[in-house]
Amino acid sequence: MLFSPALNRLAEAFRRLPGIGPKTALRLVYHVLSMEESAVQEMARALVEARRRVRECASCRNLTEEENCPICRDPRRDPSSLCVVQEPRDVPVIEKSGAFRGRYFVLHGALSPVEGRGPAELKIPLLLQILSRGEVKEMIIATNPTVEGDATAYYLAEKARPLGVKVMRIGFGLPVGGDLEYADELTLKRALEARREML
Amino acid sequence: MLLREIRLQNFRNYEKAELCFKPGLTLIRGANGQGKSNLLEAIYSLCFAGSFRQVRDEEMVRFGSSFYYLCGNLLSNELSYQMEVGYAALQKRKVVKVNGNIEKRGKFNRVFPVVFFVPEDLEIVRRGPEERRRFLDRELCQLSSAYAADLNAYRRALLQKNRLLREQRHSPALRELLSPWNRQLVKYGSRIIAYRNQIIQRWAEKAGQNYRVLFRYGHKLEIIYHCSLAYGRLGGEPAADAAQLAELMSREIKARESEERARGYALVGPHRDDLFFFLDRREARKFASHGQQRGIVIALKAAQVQYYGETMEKPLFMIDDIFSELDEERRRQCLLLFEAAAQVLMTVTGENKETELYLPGREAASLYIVQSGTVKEAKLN
Repeated sequence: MLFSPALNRLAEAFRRLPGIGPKTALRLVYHVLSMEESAVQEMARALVEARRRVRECASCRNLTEEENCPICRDPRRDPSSLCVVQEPRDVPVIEKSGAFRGRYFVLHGALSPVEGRGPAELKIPLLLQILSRGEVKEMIIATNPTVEGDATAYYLAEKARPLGVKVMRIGFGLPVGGDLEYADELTLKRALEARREML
Repeated sequence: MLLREIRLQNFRNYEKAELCFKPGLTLIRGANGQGKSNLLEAIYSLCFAGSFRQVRDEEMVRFGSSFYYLCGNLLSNELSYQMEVGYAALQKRKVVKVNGNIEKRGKFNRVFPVVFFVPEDLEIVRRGPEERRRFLDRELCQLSSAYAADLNAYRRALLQKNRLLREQRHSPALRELLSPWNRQLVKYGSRIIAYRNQIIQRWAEKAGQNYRVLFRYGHKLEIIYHCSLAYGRLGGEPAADAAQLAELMSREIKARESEERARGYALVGPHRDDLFFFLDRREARKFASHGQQRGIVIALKAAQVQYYGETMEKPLFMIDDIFSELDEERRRQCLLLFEAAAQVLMTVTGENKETELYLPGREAASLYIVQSGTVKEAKLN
């Protein structure tokens, strides 16, 4: 128990962050107390600023500080190819691969009736509107390989196909540079299901 | 598989106990409430430590102490495994060690071939389809990790679909969202049905023969997988493959769409399947005597033992209180069936005719006597 209401409040605030239990919260509280006041102020400002400035890109829903994100504004990106991902954090991962030169659409989740997430919550109508403009020729669905991620992919495919868009699902399989023997059974199974004829 | 030894500390009514086991038959004798079943439960918890099989750890800590600890040595496929399981009640923390290495929970997915008969298993025959499906899924998950994964995914998709079916009754716009979940149900469900069908057929053959061994002039036992898809029963027919089943299931879902909407939950799929037991074509649940029902479950368990023996390795067979309701001849015949196990651990109460208990062709049985939480090795005479 802390004897200062201010410290209690701070501990409670830390606990709202994911992965922070009561003990970690206390440790953070004591650390904040040991910091210079200017550093604490900087941190508080950074928190508020980030929250205030960052918003969803109007066209792809990725996080950005402007109306449109840098990727959507970049004229060198191929507008005929669209990659649909579940979370904003998936975008930098794919970007790092350097293998994709098109644009993105971020769903911020996957379909999940039990959590009350339907197409409207994922802004799928906005996505379909983008597709119906006819610029996008190919959509790559890169939602997670979970039951919900797969269901979302099926749903998107059903909706996009009538619009004349070629719908692709990202491939699943073995990690590159790894040994076959270390792959878990599920990954291997999926890799075998998605086998390809060698040309 | 062979269990060579086990040590218990603060487990159920045992403060400390240590037992060594030989291959073949071991009897665990004691009056009611002395701790015979607890011993088997300890072995079970040790063998399935860290696996998907759920055990209620809090309940296993001895009254008045804060932890339990089990350790034991077992031999599977000519490799020995030193297993340790510790559970601290206050921290609710469980640690599983295999050969001295800590296993992250659930990571140790080496499943040992163990078949366990407990009196509650009689409910497989006596009670409703839910018990039978639970039995089926538990045993099949133990046989195949792919089945376990499919079942998990299936249950998840079913949960989502049922939520939609419930909510679409007052918001019909949701109906268009059903199809992606149906596709998933078909994908995983068809694989589940195909695997169930394949294994049940193998079990059923063996169980039929086993029942004949138990009741020499008795009835014909048939076990049939009743699949809720169109044709009703799959047993006996050539195994349909998953692709055909997917086709069938997908059609059936379409056919019963309006019914599902009206009722508000999913009506098609392996979650509606059942297992039927027939004695001379009469349903055992209604027409068989208690002794016969027990015989059916024994025949089925023995079939599982034999199946393990043929496909993996001879299993450990643990049997809790199997003999009540069985007459003298049935008891003797019962023991013939256990030959397919590498090791049999069996609880018994009385002292009647135990000298006759031999696994045919093997060395004589060993005996442990259990009395209020202590175990003593004794000689059979």
